[in-house]
Amino acid sequence: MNTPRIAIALNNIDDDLISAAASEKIVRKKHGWLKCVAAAACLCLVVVGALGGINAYMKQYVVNNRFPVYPAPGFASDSAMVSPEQAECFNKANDIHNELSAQNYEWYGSCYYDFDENKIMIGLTDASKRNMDTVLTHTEDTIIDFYKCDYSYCYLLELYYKLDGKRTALSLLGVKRYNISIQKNRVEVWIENADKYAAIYMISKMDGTGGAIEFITCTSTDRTSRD
Amino acid sequence: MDDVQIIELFFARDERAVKETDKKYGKLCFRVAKNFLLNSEDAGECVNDTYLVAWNKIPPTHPNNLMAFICKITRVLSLKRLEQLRAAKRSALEIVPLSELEDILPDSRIAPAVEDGEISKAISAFLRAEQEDARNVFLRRYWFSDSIRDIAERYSFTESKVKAMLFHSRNRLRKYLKKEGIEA
Repeated sequence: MNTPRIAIALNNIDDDLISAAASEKIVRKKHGWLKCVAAAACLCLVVVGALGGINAYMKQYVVNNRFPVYPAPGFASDSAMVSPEQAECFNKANDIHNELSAQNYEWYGSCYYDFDENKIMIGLTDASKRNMDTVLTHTEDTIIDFYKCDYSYCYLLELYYKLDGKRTALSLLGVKRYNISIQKNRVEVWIENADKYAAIYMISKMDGTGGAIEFITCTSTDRTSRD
Repeated sequence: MDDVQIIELFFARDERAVKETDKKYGKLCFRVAKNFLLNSEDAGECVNDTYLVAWNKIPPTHPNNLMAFICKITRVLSLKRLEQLRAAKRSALEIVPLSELEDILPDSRIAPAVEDGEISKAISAFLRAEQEDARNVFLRRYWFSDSIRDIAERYSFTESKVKAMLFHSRNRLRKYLKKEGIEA
C-alpha cells in the first residue's frame, strides 16, 4: 500500500490544529468521580425519601388500627408464695397443656393454673360439649374449668413460628423477644418502645385474624397503649 | 526555555538550539516517528534527522509554531523512511490509520488537477468546523498515528466511542471534499 495522498496532504494542515491535538494537557473527564458521588447522593436521597414515606405509611397504619401497646409489667413488691399444692396444680396444668397441644385440636386454646382462683383453666375456641368431653378424656380426675378463648393454640403457635422465621429482621426493627402467653391466649411481642411502627406494622400483618398479638414495651416507663 | 528563545538560538547558530529542541520536543517527535515506523531504532534515527533538517531550515524559515514545525518534519521523514523500508522489503507493515483514509483520497490519479496544498487547506477548513473532541481524535489518529487504545485513554473515551467518532469524521470528510470538488 502506498501512502494515501490524503495522508500526505494532512502534513500541511494548519499548525495550530496540530499544536492543539499535541497539547500535553490530557482532557480527562474531570467530573467522572463527581458524577458517581452525585448519583450515589441521589440514590441515598431517594432511598431515605422512600424509607421516610414507608415509615409514615406504617405509622399511619398503626395509629389508625390502634394496636394495643402495653408497658412492661412491674415486679411485685412482695414475692408471691406458692404452696406445694399450688405448685402441683401448676405442674398438672402444664402437663395437660402439653398433652392437649400435642393432639393439634383446632379448638384447643390454652390450659393454665389460675393462682387467684386456684383452678386449672382450659380455654377452647369452640366450647361445645363434644370438645369438652374430648378434653376430659385427657384430664382424668383433675378438676378443671372451661372458658371460651379467642385463639386456638395451633394458631398462636403458627404465629410464633412466623415471627421466628423473621427474627433477624424483627430484631433490627426493635423487637426484643416474643412468646406465647398461655394465660392471655396471645402472642406477646416485646418491643423497645411504642414508636417501633415498622415492627408493629410487620408483625400485625402476620396476624391474619387480627388481635392475637399483644405488644409490650420493654421499659415500664414507656408511654402506654394507644387505646 | 520557550519557543522564541529556541528559535533565537537557531538564528544565532548556537548548537544549544538542538539540545533545547530535543529537551522540549524530543519525546513527542520520537512518539510520532515510532507510531509510523514501529521500531525504536528507526524512530530514533528519524528524530535525529529531524534536528538536522530543522537546523538547515532555521534560518531562513522563522516558524510561528515551533512544535508543529518540528513535528511536521518528523512526520514527513517517518513517511519517507517507511516508503524506503517497504521498497527494500524490510517492512511489510501497513500503517493501519492511513489505510483507513485510503478510500477518501487514495493517490494522485484521483483529483490530479488539485494541488496538495489545496487539499491541505480543505482539510484544515473541515477540521476547524468539526467539534473539538472529534477534531483532536481525528488528528491523533491520522496525523500522529496513535492507536485507538491510546486515544481512548488520552481522552477518557471508550474504544468503541473513538472508533465511532473516526468513522463519522471520515464520512463527513469524504462528503466535504466531494463538495469542494476533491473526490475519489
